[in-house]
Amino acid sequence: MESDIILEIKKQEKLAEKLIREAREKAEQIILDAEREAKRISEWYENKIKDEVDKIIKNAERDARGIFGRIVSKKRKELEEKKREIDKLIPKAKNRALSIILGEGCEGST
Amino acid sequence: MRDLLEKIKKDSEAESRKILEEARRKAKEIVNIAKKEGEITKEKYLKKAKKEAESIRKREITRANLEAKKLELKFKDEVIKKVIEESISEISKIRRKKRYEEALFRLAKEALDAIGVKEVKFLLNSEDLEVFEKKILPKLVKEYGLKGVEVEGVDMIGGVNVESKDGRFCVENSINARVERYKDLLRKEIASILFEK
Repeated sequence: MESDIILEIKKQEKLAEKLIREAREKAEQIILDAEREAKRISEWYENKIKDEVDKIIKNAERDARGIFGRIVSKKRKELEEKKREIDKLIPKAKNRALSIILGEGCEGST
Repeated sequence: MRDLLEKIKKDSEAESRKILEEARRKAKEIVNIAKKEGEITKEKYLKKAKKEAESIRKREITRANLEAKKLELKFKDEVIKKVIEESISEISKIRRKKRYEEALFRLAKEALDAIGVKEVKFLLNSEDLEVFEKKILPKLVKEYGLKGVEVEGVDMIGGVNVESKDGRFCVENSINARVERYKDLLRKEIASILFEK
């Protein structure tokens, strides 16, 4: 009778151990799954960051090319206008230059 | 006895639940940490990228302003060169005019003042020889007391070079020499007429 009780207790203890062991195995699996998920999240962020950074830099480069083009073409236009303006002054400048070359000004001696 | 068995069963179930709950809590934390770290890293890199983008824009603005400045300097330089070249070309048009004759006289005098000798040789453009010998040389001989003067036509645009006859001294007052000598003044004066308002 007594041994039956002990046997029953041992059986129940074994069942309890099995339940806990299974719980531990399942817990281990849950952690492994979580770690895998964490890794996947990190990779996702890595790719997302790379894409967004690339996008920001490419946009900046495109904008910069636009800025360069705008500034340079504005200057070219400005110089075209300037050229038209100074065309009227060229004869005066030529005469002054000739005057210096011919020694008519007050530039020093030889 | 039944109570004892029931207790063992309940304890093991409770322990099992506890283990699983703890695992689920830990798993949630692992995932949350990964998300949080991802967000922090993302913000960090995006901030860096935005800074880099701003620096690209600034760099390009600086480069564009430099290019614009270069274009302007090139433009001014070309205009000034053109004015000087056209002024030199003008010499052939005024060669027979009083203005050039007076200039030739003045340039010869400047050269004689500088060389300080009386036995000299004048070097001129062949087209200037006639007017020089007829109208200018007699005045110079008289004014400077020149002796044994020689005049030679050479390949030059205009103006006059004077050499001492012993070959020790030479004063260049040709058009080319003057353009070279006064290039800074020429550039300054032309720029002031054309580009200063």
